[in-house]
Amino acid sequence: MPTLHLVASLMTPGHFRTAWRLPHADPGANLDVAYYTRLARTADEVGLDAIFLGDGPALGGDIASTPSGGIDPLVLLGHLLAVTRRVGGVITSSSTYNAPYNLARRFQALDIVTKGRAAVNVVTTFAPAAAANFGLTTPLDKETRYRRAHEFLDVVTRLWDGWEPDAIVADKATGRYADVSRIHRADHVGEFFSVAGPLPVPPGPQGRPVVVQAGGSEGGVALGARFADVVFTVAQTRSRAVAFRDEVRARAAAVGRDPDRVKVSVGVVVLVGETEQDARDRLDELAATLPVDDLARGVLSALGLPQRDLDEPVGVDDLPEVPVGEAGSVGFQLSTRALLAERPLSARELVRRTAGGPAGGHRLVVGSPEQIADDLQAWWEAGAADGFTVMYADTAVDFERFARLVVPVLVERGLFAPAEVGVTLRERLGVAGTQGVAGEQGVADAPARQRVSA
Amino acid sequence: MGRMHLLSSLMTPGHFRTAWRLPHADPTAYLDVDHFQRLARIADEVGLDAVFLGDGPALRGEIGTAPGTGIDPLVLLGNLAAVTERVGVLATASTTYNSPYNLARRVQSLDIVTGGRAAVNVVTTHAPAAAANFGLAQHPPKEERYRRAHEFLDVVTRLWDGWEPDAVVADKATGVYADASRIHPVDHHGEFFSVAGPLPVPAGPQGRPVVVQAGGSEGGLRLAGDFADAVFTVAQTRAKAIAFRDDIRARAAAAGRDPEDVKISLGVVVLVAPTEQEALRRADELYATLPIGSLTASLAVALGLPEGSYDPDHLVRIEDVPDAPPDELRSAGFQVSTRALLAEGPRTLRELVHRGAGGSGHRLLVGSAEQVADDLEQWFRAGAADGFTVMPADTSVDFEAFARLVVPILVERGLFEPAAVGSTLRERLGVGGR
Repeated sequence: MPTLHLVASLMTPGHFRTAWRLPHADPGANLDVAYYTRLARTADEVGLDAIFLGDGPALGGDIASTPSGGIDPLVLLGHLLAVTRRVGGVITSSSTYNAPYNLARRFQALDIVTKGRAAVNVVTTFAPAAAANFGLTTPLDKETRYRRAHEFLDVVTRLWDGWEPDAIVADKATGRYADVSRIHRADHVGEFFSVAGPLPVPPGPQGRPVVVQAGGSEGGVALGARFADVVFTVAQTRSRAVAFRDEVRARAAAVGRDPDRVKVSVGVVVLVGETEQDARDRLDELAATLPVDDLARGVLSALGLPQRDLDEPVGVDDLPEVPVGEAGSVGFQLSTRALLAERPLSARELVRRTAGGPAGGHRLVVGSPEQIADDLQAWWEAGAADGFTVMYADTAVDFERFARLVVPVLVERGLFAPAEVGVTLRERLGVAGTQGVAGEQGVADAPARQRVSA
Repeated sequence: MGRMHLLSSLMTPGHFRTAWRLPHADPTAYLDVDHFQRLARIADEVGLDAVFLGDGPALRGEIGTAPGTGIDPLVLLGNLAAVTERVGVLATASTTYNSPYNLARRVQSLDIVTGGRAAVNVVTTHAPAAAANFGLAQHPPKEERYRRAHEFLDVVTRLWDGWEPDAVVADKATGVYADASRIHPVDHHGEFFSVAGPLPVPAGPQGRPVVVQAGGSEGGLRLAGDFADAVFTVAQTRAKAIAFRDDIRARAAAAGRDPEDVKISLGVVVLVAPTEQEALRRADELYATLPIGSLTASLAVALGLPEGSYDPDHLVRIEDVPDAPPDELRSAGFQVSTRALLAEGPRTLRELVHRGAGGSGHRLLVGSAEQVADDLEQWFRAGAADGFTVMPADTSVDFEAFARLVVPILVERGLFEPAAVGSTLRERLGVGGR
């Protein structure tokens, strides 16, 4: 029987962004490499599949109230993978604000130096503040961003496939180093990019680093079905998660891929108590740090609703028929719709249920280690997820508690198998090899491609 | 007199690109992180100031005969910094094929996670193969590349300066995390870039990571005078090196900077052994791996000799070599340096190939540990350099040999002082904070 995968977010201070205000909190932890190293070593010890960092290339607007934006995740996770041996690294990068050649090369390099533990989480980045850092006065519209992302991943995966496994000959007697007929250019000319290739060096242990995709809009789901090894998603209800996973699998099959090679990772924010009561007390403490009214107003606008009394229940019928397109996260809206279909909740209640509002929007699970393990088990057994991206209410506390208290319960129940040294992240996730992408042939079967000249 | 600084290149298999053919060589060491970690730990033990990797974002044409461009240097050096404590890391990055916001952020992040050991070597990249990887049909001309580089570094340094030191307030009682009035956007609108800023996080220990500049053309020198903390250069003769250092210092002063804040790091290819005889034997072994015919031919083209086929033993005189390189893809620094050598007397093409370490153009130093130390001491005392970028001839042998055999001599002579844990690279190089 397969086991569930566990990816752990390092977001600091936590998915409650104001956790830095708690008495025990170090407000500078988000810049402290020793702190992150501790978390990474914990993840490595208990055998989590990967550690994860979200990202956007800009300072967020709420810096006055919370650490907002972090250290470049490739640099930080590169460091953390260098001081660990088993855990993988999922690093968010923008297909809108990177060049495909640089990004392909960087992740291939990370895969080489980590011996097969690299994954890229491709996002299209909406934030207008990011656009302004890259010469755009307004962000690209969503449809254009996803069209670009599609072409981007097409180029990136072809660059990763450019070297045949036996291209390096290294014949000391004749002085022939590589057989250039086995190194293939991408020679891509498209709407957004022209990229010749090939990459300077052959691939690392994984061939292609793992590709994670996170967008819940139509463009995002299509991209995931075509390219992703793992789809990261938000779901407030189990039935919504089951339906989403079925859809992703069907979409992958429709483009000729094996549905078992696309894993769905459901985001969940955990707050782990030593007991249930301890967990509830900590939730009250955390909730008291939130600027609840501001966040509640943010929830209403992210749902496309006019402002209203923050204690007035919102029912599913109040929501717009079609999710708000451009600025809002479609995944968040669909997930909240499913939640409200079960029963109406006020804007203030929604803030509490979603660990602080639309920026996260993920389901919050509060309880004892046994209760959290029960919850994850129930979702997994219902076919709601192949695994979980675990996010922490207060990372400084809950990361360690999840690893030390919840993971052993999952292991004991036979639901989770700790990662081993020498196994690639792809192998661990059950997506080894690079087949299974529609329309993509093995490099060796593509003799028509142009060769590098000597 | 200050102490000399020592940077060491990790280029593998070595500055003799064909060193992979030697019997002891692992031909794929340039893809092996364990190989690089071993070298970085040696550098850390003996207290070298930094390890260095050159780069260009493309596969080089000579992959048929030697490993070309390697693993992305920022990723590799980030890994190496994580397993060491003292040594700085100097990663080459292109101003032509990066965006300033991403690069400023990445290098600042490296400075944070390494505790102040990050440096970037900015180059404008002169490989046409790189242009084709970034949507350009033609490589931009040198003048334009340097104009872009100038604007690029202007934006990058202003991004690095964006957060005032006390911007993070973190008042738990009131919930105020940062004082936004102390975080400054750059709001840059120029010929090549529009960048709003600020960066997402405050600066690391160095404030600005160390900036190294490597181009020897007029545009490169201007860039160095305005922005560089260290200038990496090529010189085959001491007189040429002294003149170059004087020129850079004068340019920095003209730009309103303290000349002491710009250090000259001279490239030197080192082949070192316990005895002179052993070093000479190893040099012969390395020369034998070179494809002398094709290197002779490409050197003749690079120097702008009249068209024709040349025998490796063809004698070249200074009159044969034009002042400027034959086209703008060629390195101006290399041309000037070769002419300075020929001014001392004619040389055969074979000698030039050998002296240029098989084509990289830097001065080759072959000898015992004492001889190598003597040479560096003389150049340093003559004012030819503030320090050296040591490029091992055969990295799998000469990196460690330099560190274990030559560095202790330089320490004993009071010329070099091993780096201490906790000092930033900027402090070690003696280039002021900004």
